[in-house]
Amino acid sequence: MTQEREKKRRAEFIMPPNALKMKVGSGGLDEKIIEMAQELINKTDFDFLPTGQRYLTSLQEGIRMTMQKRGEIDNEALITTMLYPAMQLKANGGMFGYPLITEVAAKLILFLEQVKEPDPDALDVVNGFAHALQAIMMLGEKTRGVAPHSSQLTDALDEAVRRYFTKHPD
Amino acid sequence: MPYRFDTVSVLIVEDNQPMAMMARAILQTFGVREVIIAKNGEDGFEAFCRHNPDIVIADWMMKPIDGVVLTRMIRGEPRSPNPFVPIILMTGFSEKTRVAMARDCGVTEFLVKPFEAKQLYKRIAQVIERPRQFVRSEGFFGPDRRRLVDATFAGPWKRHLDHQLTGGKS
Repeated sequence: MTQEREKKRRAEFIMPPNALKMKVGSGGLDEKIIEMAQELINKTDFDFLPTGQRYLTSLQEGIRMTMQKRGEIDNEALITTMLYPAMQLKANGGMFGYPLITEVAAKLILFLEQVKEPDPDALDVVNGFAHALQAIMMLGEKTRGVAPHSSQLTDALDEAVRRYFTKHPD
Repeated sequence: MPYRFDTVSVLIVEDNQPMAMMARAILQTFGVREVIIAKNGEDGFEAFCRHNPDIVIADWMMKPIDGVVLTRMIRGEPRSPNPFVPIILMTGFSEKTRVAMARDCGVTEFLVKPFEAKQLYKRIAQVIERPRQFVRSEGFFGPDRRRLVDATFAGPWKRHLDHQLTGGKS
């Protein structure tokens, strides 16, 4: 091992005092309290759709910008313009009563994480996701909880992704 | 005796207001009396320096300073009042590479959004009951990324230096 590598591996281990444990004590929380907290999530009356629509608009702007600036701006930066709103949709949809938005956005994130270059075919796929998300939001209340025909929608998106990676195996 | 969270303070750093409110309501149901909210990493670091909370819960994707950069500031800035504070990073990312990236920046726990109240509770219980030792090396300062420590392990050390550096503890 070189001196440099050995220096890098030299480490100091510190066990800080567990002040938090001293404050809270032992015994955990009663299951009923956790259930009460979960009820807050389940019964939230926050209307997510206006916020969701803003994130969707931001995703659509990301797609447009990527179409226009491809080759001029770094690919990762362009993908991030679509990844950020997709992430917000995934994180917040399910939290506020729209699990289908989370499910679709999660698939979109996975796709964006795997795509090496935002080429026109990839943008077509992302566009497909944006249309699907738009449709879910237009259906509004009907897509709260378990939405009808949701598996057909997600299957179609999976198929679009599969087709893309068959065409672009690298 | 159950946990007493009434003397614990938690800083939530989240740019999505409804999500921040939801997290605060959940924590208050757990019994946390002092919940401080900041809307991005920049404000979050200021709030951290001012209030010195017991736990930080931060979103990853925020502008202008995200949760990962905030973590680096808390762990490394001279102004930081407690570089050992447990940091729970909330994010929509769940891919292994992203989790590893967050761990490499000094995050203590990872909470994937959307989440259930029980999952947030589990992360909090984890930092209380299983605090991680900290490592200070040339390129890293933060919780030990090697979570699983088997005290009964009697076999040969794969890397002889590990044994020397930790005094046989890891």
